[in-house]
Amino acid sequence: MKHNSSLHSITKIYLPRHKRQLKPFSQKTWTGSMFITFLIFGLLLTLQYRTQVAAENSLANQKQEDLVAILKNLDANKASLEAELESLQNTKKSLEAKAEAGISLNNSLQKQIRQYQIANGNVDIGGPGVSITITADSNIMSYDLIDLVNELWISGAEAVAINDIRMLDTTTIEQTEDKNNNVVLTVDGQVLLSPIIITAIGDSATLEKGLTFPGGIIDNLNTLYQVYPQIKKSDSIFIPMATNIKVNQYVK
Amino acid sequence: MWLPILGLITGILIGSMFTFTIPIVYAKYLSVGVLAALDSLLGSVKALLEDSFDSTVLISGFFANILLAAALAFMGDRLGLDLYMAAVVALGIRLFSNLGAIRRDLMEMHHNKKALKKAGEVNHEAQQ
Repeated sequence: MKHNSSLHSITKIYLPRHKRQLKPFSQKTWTGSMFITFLIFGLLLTLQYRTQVAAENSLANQKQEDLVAILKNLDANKASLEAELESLQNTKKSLEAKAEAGISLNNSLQKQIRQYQIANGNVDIGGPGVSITITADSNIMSYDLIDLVNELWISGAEAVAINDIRMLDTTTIEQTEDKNNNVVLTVDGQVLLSPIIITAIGDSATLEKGLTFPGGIIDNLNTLYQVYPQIKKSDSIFIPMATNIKVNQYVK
Repeated sequence: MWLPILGLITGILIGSMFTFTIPIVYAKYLSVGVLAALDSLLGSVKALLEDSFDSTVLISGFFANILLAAALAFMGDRLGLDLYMAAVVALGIRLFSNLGAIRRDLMEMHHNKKALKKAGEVNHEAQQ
């Protein structure tokens, strides 16, 4: 009994100071409610932590020096981007100028090609000019035709054709005899049938004057050979594409 | 014993999984709420150690404290008073006193256990 009383006295001394009657509490009740409250506390804690981090990272909470640094950085960025923009615009301008130059070069080349095509007789051409008609009863020689064509060239003709055969750099005008021994005129080997019509494109007034001035070729033909070519000015002379083009074999 | 800690970890994990944040203007109220929640939890631990734990008191006190602290801070903002500081100071003091009580209870329990063990040994020897 003595020992028991000593144990009792010790436990009495070291009992919690509020000296409540220890009653076994239900494990289930306290863990359940503690679990729920701790869980909610954890949720609130992380939510608040994240909100605080977001707030600290927002511009409004940055230090003044940091903000100044950020601003400077952005200004520098802006300046470099503006410089880049300017250089890109300059590049664009120069490229546009180049494109324009390319277009104009293309246009001039096209014109040149057209010029060469006209000169070589590769295309049908038309324009103002004159047509000279020499009827079948005329006693005309190949020299007269050559003189006429020459005179037209001299008067500024840009294209000349006889019976729709274009005068090219290789064109020949000859006088030969056919199978029946009749004298015939040929242009590039093609026999000319009457009436011979010479068409020329150029300034019609100048061309006419060049042919008909006193002592000129028509005057000579009239007076010396009694050939009376009829000259007609026209606004729309048509000369078809040449069929007598010779292909170069030796010119390189 | 481990279930509340598991609850805390689960709560933190669930909270970390959301990416949603509350507007900065309300952050202050939430912070006071968190402080109130912490105070309630420490109070419950203390009650557990002192064997006066009641789950109804814990749950009701937990939510009531959070809401009251947040409401106090909100009201303070509306009135131009730093009632927010009042809540923080009051809760802080309670936090420390609770913590102190828990510490003392734990020490006492530890001491008690040792003394009981010693007394048991003495008893055993005497019986022999």
